[in-house]
Amino acid sequence: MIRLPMKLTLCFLLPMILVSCKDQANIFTESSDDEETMARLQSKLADLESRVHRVKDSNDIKRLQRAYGYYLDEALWDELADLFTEDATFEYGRDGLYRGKDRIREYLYALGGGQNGLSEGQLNEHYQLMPVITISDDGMTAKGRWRALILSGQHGGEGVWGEGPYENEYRKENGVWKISKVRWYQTIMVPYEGGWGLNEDINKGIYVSPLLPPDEPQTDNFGSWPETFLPPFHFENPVGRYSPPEVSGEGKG
Amino acid sequence: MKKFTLLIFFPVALLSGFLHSQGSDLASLAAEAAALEQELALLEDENEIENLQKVFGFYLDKHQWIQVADLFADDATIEMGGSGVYVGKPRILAYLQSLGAEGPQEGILDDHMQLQPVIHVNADGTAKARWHHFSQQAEWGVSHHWGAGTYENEYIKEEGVWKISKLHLYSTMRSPVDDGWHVTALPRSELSAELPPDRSPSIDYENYPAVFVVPFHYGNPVTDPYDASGAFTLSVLLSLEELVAKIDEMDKRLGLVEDADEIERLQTIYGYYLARNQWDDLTGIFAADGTIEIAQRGVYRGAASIRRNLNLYGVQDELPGELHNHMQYQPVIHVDENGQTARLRSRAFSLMGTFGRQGRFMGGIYENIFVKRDGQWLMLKDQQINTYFAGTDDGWINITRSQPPGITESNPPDEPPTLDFEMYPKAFLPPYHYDNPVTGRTEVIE
Repeated sequence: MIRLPMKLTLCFLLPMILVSCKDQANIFTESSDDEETMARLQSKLADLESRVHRVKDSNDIKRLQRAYGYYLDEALWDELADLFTEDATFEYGRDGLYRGKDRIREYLYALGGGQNGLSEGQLNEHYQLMPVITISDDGMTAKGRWRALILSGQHGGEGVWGEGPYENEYRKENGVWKISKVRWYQTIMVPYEGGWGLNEDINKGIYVSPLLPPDEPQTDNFGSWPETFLPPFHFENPVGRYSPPEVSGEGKG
Repeated sequence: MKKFTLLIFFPVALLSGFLHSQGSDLASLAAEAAALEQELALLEDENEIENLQKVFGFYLDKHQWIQVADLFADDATIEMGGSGVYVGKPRILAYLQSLGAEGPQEGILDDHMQLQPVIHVNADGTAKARWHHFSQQAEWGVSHHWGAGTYENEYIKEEGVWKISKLHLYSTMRSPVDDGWHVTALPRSELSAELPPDRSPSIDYENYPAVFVVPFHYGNPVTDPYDASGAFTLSVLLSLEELVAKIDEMDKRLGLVEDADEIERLQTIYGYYLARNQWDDLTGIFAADGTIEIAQRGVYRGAASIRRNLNLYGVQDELPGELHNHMQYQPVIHVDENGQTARLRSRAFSLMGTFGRQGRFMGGIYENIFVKRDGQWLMLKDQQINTYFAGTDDGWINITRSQPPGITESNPPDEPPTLDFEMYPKAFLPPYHYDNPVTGRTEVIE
């Protein structure tokens, strides 16, 4: 909405040279100040713009990974594969590394037994939770830690609880964020009855690699439940670790 | 007073080439600022909608029907599972009241986690969002169930306040805890005979074990990105003074959005460290005068005490055959206007246990406080109010012990617990740090 300041309007409606208009006088006498103000505003606005875009990028990446989760729930492999960059890598559990979008599609179809979409009685819920997103300084790549909680199984067959963190990477191509790396660390994948208390991992993190050998071996070796493993973090402690006081025996009062 | 942008609208301005170029610079800068403000407003809207749906979830858990209904627009609709569509706020309230008595009830567990939001805000003050629903429901001595589903909801901004305009929960899986979903999968809910809906269900589908993909409000984010562009109204600034003020205001607003992001990130990192007994890392994210109060064990104040408190949950970095996974969900974040303190309500759903014995689920609410010191957000108060501890195979149906763990004599707190509560099957409403975001109504707990 354009608002006409009455005072200024009046200034120009009157014969301009004859009338002393304080505002207009200021424009001439303070022009160098104005230039400085303008330059300062320009740079502040540029800074705001880059900060807004960083938050927006982070939100876009969260939407992307959550969309990934909803597709995975339904075994919609083509939609899922389309979320990746051409040179992306995919590494699920202890299956080893698959390189490139085409191989990722092949891997995903193998997970689904060659079929797109779930079949009757299949449950495949993979909730995508706990994002920690870190965007690179140039705003073109990003990393994200997530945790998946999994309810899966086959009606009339086995029910399964699963859980484990992702350490993924993303890249912005032509203004669109894509997944450039999926790395999912399986913490547990255990039968419903008895859960993680009474069962070892059902598949030791191996899904389809015996049938579809990976392009490269597993990048970091870890065992399967009840063995435990700390998947590396892509980020440092945001504040810093606590270090206990040097002097011992100085109990708190 | 330097309202010289107006000069460009008057022929007299053309007398001065210098003035004209100054005016154009200001005009283009003002236009840039206006466009950026729209982008900023979208980020604020997203956060508000996210908070709104999570607030809905926390009220729903505790059967606070009046508070739930007040989150809806006057002509909104609600549709849960196969129960049909109820139209308008009074009917929404009536439907909710048909589900049980107002407020938390002894013996009733009804946790509805609001997870995995995909929110798209439109240019016209409306928005759509997909969410996951994951529920733990029990009636003591009678039944206990797992539930899963997907929301596809719509929201509307009325006089600056976001409200729910359409809530549709596609419930897709419901199974008794004793059997699991692989053995017994129940159909979706049926039409109520007592309170028939205003419209029949909007879509016909069957629950798991049938296959059903809940329709998406958005296309593939890479091949068919959501188009939120449209007729945004840009406010045009006229003076340098106004522009200076606007940019300062945007700086402050953006700061609060960034703060909310950082707080969610910090609470999430807390969860990752807690899951792996990384006690020194965890202690490090607290303020020097921070406190931790978990499960009525009392208040441990200051870094040395917080670190000592964490010894109650295991040995640092050592988890042979142990699962200690406290997943952090559903943060509702409010940053104070000065951007120096913030409050968060969130929840944990935890998978815990030692290999060889029955594992446990833990559910609970956090009401935490954060503080910004030297530009860095820190945890000032961490308070966990547990809802239940339940064996993986036992579930909630026969839980008898409602007392949380309490004080450990060998490693006592600095101060006694600040809040007296009991867990399921007792009813308890953990106090909220916020009022109803639509009506401002404070929950009075009797």
